[in-house]
Amino acid sequence: MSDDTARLLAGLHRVIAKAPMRSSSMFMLSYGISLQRFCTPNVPIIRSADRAGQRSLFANCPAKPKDWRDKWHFFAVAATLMRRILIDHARKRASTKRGGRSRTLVLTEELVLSDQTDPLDLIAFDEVLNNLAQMNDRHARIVELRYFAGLSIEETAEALEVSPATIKNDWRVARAWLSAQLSADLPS
Amino acid sequence: MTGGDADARKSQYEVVQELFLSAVQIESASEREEWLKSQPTCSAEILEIVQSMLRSDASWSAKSSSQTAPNQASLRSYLHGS
Repeated sequence: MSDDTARLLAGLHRVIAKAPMRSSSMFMLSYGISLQRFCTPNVPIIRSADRAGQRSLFANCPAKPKDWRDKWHFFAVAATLMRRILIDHARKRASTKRGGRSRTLVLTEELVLSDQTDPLDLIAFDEVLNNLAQMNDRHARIVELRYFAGLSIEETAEALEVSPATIKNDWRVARAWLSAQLSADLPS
Repeated sequence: MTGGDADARKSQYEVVQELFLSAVQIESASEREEWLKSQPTCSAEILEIVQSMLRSDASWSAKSSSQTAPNQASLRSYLHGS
């Protein structure tokens, strides 16, 4: 285990110990797709061949564990990392994919994925989310926190220091815009 | 994308956001469409985007009301199941 990984896990455990949160916030941990699982060698997600990618992921990580300001900062970083893990995974699946494209990703209150999810859908989602960030960074951050860190409306509001009503409106706009963009992206 | 393009896209998104949030307050689909078309900031392109957003929003509302339990394990099953 690298020093970075050890520090990340230590930070993770500190956050859990100091700041018990509702289950919705802890879904990555409680369902086992935590950063620990990502970081631990020999798990199916990251094999030894992916070590270089793992290092580059951490190299681009916006904060190291020792730098956590608070639990919300931690979740913001965790959401970004989770997004990268899923998109990397989708890219690998897409490289072996055969056949045409179909719309399988439906944006609801949560990002619901299954074996039937077309990896190209997830990659397209990542692209339109990047586009959204260029137009309204807060909207993109809300989507990231809600979909990839599992934060509730209230938790997202606290993390971004705005009112829940603002988050509700922003979330509704962002999600509808993303859906519209994904629909437009599909061949008719 | 040039700085001008980026600014134009930001402005368009702001207009889209404003129109969308106002439009969702109007229950009748036909009244909503009429209202949208009457807005001076609503070009054909923006109209198309907002209408598509409204369709997505309506579809989401229908789904969320019928959803009984959130599927929080889906990310995990997606990663582990393939």
